[in-house]
Amino acid sequence: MRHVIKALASYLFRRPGQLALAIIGMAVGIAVIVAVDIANDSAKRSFDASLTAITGEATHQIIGGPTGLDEQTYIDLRLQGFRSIAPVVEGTIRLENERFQVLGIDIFAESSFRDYETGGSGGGTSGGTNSFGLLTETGGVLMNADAADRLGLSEGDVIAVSRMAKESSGKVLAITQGEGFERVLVVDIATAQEWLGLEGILTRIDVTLENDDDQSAIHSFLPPNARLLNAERRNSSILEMSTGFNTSLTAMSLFALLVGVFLIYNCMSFMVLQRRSIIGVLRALGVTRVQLVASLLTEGMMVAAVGVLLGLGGGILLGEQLVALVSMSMTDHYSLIRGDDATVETFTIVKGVTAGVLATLIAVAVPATEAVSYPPRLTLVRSVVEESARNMLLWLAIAAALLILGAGAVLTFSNVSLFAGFFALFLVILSAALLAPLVVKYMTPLLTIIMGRIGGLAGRIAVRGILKSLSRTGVAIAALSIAVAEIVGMGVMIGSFRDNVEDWLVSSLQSDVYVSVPGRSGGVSLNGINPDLIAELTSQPGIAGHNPVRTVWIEEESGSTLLRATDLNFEKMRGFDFLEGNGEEIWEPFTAGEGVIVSDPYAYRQNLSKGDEVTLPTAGGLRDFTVLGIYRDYNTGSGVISIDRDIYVRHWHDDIIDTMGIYLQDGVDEAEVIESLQDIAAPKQALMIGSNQRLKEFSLEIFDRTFIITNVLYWLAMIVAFVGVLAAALALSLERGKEIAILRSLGMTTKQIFKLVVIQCGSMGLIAGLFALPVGMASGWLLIDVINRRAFGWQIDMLIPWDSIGIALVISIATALIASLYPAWVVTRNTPVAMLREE
Amino acid sequence: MLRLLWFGRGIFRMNSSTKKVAICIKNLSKSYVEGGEPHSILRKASAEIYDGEMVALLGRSGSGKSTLLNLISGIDVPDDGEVAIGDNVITDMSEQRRTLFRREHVGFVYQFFNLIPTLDVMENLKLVMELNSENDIMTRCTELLNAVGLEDRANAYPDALSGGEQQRVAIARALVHKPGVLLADEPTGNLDETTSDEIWELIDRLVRPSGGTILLATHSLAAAKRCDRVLELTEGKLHDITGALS
Repeated sequence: MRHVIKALASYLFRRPGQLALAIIGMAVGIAVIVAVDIANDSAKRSFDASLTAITGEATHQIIGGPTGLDEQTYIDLRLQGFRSIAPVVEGTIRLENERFQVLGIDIFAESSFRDYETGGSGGGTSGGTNSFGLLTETGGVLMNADAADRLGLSEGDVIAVSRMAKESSGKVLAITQGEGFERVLVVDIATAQEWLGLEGILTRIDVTLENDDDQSAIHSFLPPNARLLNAERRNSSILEMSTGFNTSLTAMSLFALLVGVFLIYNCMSFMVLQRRSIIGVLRALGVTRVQLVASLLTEGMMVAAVGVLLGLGGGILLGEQLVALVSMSMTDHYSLIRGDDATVETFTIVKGVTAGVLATLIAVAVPATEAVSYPPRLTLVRSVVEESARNMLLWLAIAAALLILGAGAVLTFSNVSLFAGFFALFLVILSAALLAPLVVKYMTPLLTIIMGRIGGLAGRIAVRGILKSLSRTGVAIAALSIAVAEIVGMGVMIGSFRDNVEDWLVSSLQSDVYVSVPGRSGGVSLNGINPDLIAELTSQPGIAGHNPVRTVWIEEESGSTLLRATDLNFEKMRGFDFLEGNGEEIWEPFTAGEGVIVSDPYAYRQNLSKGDEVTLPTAGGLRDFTVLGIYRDYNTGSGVISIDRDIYVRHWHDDIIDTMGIYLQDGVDEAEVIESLQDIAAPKQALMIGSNQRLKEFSLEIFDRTFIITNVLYWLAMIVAFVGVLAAALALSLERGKEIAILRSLGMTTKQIFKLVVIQCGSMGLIAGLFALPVGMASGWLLIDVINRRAFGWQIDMLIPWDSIGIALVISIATALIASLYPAWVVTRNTPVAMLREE
Repeated sequence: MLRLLWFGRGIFRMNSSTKKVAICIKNLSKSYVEGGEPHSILRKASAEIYDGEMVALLGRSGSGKSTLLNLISGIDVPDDGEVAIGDNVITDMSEQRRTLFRREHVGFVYQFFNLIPTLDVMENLKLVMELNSENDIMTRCTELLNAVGLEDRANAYPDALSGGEQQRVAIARALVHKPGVLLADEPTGNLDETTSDEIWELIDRLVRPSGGTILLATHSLAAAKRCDRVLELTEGKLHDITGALS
C-alpha cells in the first residue's frame, strides 16, 4: 500500500502549485463556512446571553402599559406576602457614544434573580459588598469588565451618561465579570428612575413562581393595566424576532456552504481525475480496486486535514471581523449586542470539519470508484471518463427535478416555518448546481459559434474543450453559478425591498416636518413633547396643521408590538396602502373608535384578517378591537397597530405626544421653518426636528447599513468561487499541456494559446453567469415571498433589478477571466518541447 | 493528381553543386540537464538535405533523433549551431517568427499521432489551414481525407479511431497546408506491422511523389532503405551511411 500511495502522491508533489491550490481551495471554502457561522452565532449568542442574564431566574414578569407600573404595585404585592419578586427599571442610555442598557434593581430583592459578578443567574454575589454600594452611592454603577476595558474605566471613575439630551452623572463602584452584562449598567432602582425620567415608575416586576396557584394568587392583586407574562416565552419571542433579523445572513451562509462544498469537491475530484492513467497502470499491475480507493481516500484525507486546519484558523480570524459588522447592523435595531466578541461554537467547528471531510470523501470516492470500475485499459482512456460524465447528465437532471419537487412540497406543507423556507432554498440551489453540467452541454454549441466569430479557431477549440472536459468544468461552473446566483438573488431581494421601502416612506411620511423627543427606543417612556411647546410651535407662521402621535410598545408573550396613536384625517387615511380594506370606508369607523388598523406583518404573525378582533391590554384591562383594515408597512417586523389618538387616550389614560408631524402652507420655505422651530424649542426642550426628506434619508441609511454584512459576504462567496475557477482553469490548462504543445508545434502562437485559455475561462464565466440569472431570480423570489414573509411578515413586490443582474453577469465573466490569466501565463511560458516531454 | 495535393513552397537555396538545399544543419549542439548533470545530445552535428529528397534519420533510442527534428522545426532551440530551411535561418528567428514560419512551411508527423482530442478529424485538418488563413479549406481538407481513405470518418473524434487511422489523419494534417518540408518522427513506431505497411504505402503514394523534402526518423532499417539517403545520428553527430546500407 505504501508504494501505491507513493505512486499516486508523487504525481501531486510534482505539481506543488496545483496541490497548494487544492489545499487553499479547501481552506477558503471551510473558512467562509466557519466565518459566517461564527458571525451568525456570536450575534445570536450575545443577544441571547444578555436577554437571559437580564431576565435571570424570573419565571414570570409583571408588565404594565406604555406608562409602566406604579411602584406602589410592588409594595402592595410585598405586603400581600409575595417574596420572590424583584422590581426592575430598564431603559437605554448613552455613555461615551455607546448605547447601554440600564438595569435598575433593588439589591435586597435581587439575590435570587441575577448574578452580575460571575454571570449566570441566581444565588451569585450580587448581594456582595460592592453591590451594597449601590444603596449608599447616588449614581453608583456596577460595570462589566468588558465595557470598562473598552471605555478605559476603572473603579471609582466618574461617568457622564445621557438620555434624551439630559445629562446625568454616575460613578463606577465595581467592575463585574457577569456574562451577558457586557452592555448593561447595573444601578440602584432610584438611579435608573432618575436617569430614565421614570420617577415613581417600574418597567416591570420580575417574579419567580413555583406553581399555578401562585400565578392565580398574584393575578388577583394586580391592577387592571398590569399583566403577568411568562418570562421564558417572552424571551424566546424576542430572540426569535432578533434572529429573524439575520435571515439574509442565514441565507448567505447557505450559499457560502454550498459554494464552499463545491469548491472542495472541485479541487479534490480534479486530483483524482488527473491521475486516471496512473490508476489504470496500477490496476494493470495488480493493485485491487479496494486498495486503490483506500489509497486515494487516505491521501485525500491527508490533504483535507491540512485544508481543514488552515480553513478553521482562517475562518475564525475572518469570523471575528464579521461579528463586528453583524453587531453593527443589529445594534441599529436592538441595543443588547456586545459587538466585539466572536464565539466559536463546537458546532461551527464540527460543521466546518464535516463539510471538508464529507466533501473530500465524496469528491474522492465518486471519481475513484468510477475509475477503478473499468478494466485497466479503459481507465487509461480519457474519453471513457468524459463519456461517463455525459451519461450522468440525465441522472443529474432527474435528481435536480426531484429536488425541485421536494422544495415545492416543503413549501406547500410547511405553513409558516422559516426553517422549512431555508431548506427549500437550499434544495433549489442544490438542484441548480446539479443542472449546471446539463446547461453546459446545451449552451456550448451556440457559444462555440459566437466564440468562433470572436476568437476564430482558438475560440472554437476553447469552448469545445469545456464540453469535452465536462467532468472537470461542470463542477467549477456549478460553483461559480451558485456564487453569482447569490449576487442576483440577494440583489433581487434587497433591490425589491429597498424600492418597496422607498415607496412606503413616500406614502406614509406625509407631513413636511417631523418633531419628536429623542431616544425613543422602546420600553416604557413618559417623555413627551411639552404641551405648551406644542402649542407654540404649531402656531408659528407658515404652519398649516399638525398631527400629534404617541408611539408606545405593547408587551405580550408573543413579543412587542408598536401601538401608534394618531389623528388620521380622511386624506391621510388615503395615503395608506391597504392590502385589506379601503381607506375611504375605514376612516369613519376608525375615528369613531370602532376599531384599529394593523400592519401586514402583524396580521400575518397573528393570522388576522379584516373584521377579526385583536385584544389589547389597556389601562382598564384587556379590550377587543376590530381590525378595520390591513396596510403595508415596513416599520418593524413585529408589526404596528394604528389607533385613533382620542380612543387611545380614552383607553390608556395617556395623553403624551412624543412625535408630531407638521404640515406647511404652500410656498413656505421648509428650511426656514425648521430653523425657527429649532430656535423656539432649544431653550425649552431637547427635540429632534427634521424634514420629511431627512427622515426618509435616515431610514434608508439604516436600511443600507443592515445589508453591509450581506455585501461583504457575497464578495467572500465570490472569492471562494474565484479560487474554484482558478483551480479549474489551472488544472485544465496543465492537463491540456500536451494538446497545447501540439497546437504550438502546429503553428499556434503564444498569443493565440493565451487567447484560447482566456476565452475558455471567459466562456465558463459566461455560461455560469447566464445560468445564474434564472437561478438567482428563483432564489430572490424565495427570499422575498417565503423567507422574508415568514421571518417578518413583510410583503414585498418583486422587482427585477437589471443593474444587479448586469453587474452579476459582468462579475461572473470578469472572475473567470482574471482566474484565467495565471494558467494562461503558465502554459505560454513553457516551451512546446518541455510540455511534450512531460507527457 | 498527387502533385496537386502537395506543392512545396519556394524556400530553397542553391549549394555549390547547384542542388537545392532544403534543410541545412550546421554545427548543431544541444544538451539537457538531468539530475543536475548535463547530457550532451547533439555535438556539432552537420548535414545538408536537398530539395525533394526523402532522408531517413537512423539512431538508437535516446540518440537525439527527436531533438534534431524539434530543432529543425523550430519548436526547440539549440545551444549552438544553425538550422536553415531554404534561405531561412530558423535559429536566428524569434519564437514568434519561428512559429509563423513553421505553420506555413513545415509539416510534422509524430509517433503518437498527437491529434487534438477536442477536435474531430475534419477539424484537425482545418486547424492548420485556418492558422494560415488559407482559402478553400473545405475543398482541400476533403481532398486529403479522400486521399488517406478517411472521408467517412470526417466527424469522428480521435479517440474513436484506430492507431492506423489516427496516423493517417496525422499525415493528412501534416500535408494539408502544402509545406516545403515534412518531418516525421517514427511515424510507424507505435503501429503494428500491417498498419505500418499501410502507412508506408501512404507515404509512398501520397508524400514522395509530391516533390517536397522529407526527413524521417526511424529505427527501422527496412524503412530507411525506402529513402533516398540515410543519415545516422551517433554520439551527437550526423553521418551519411547511405552507401554502407546499400
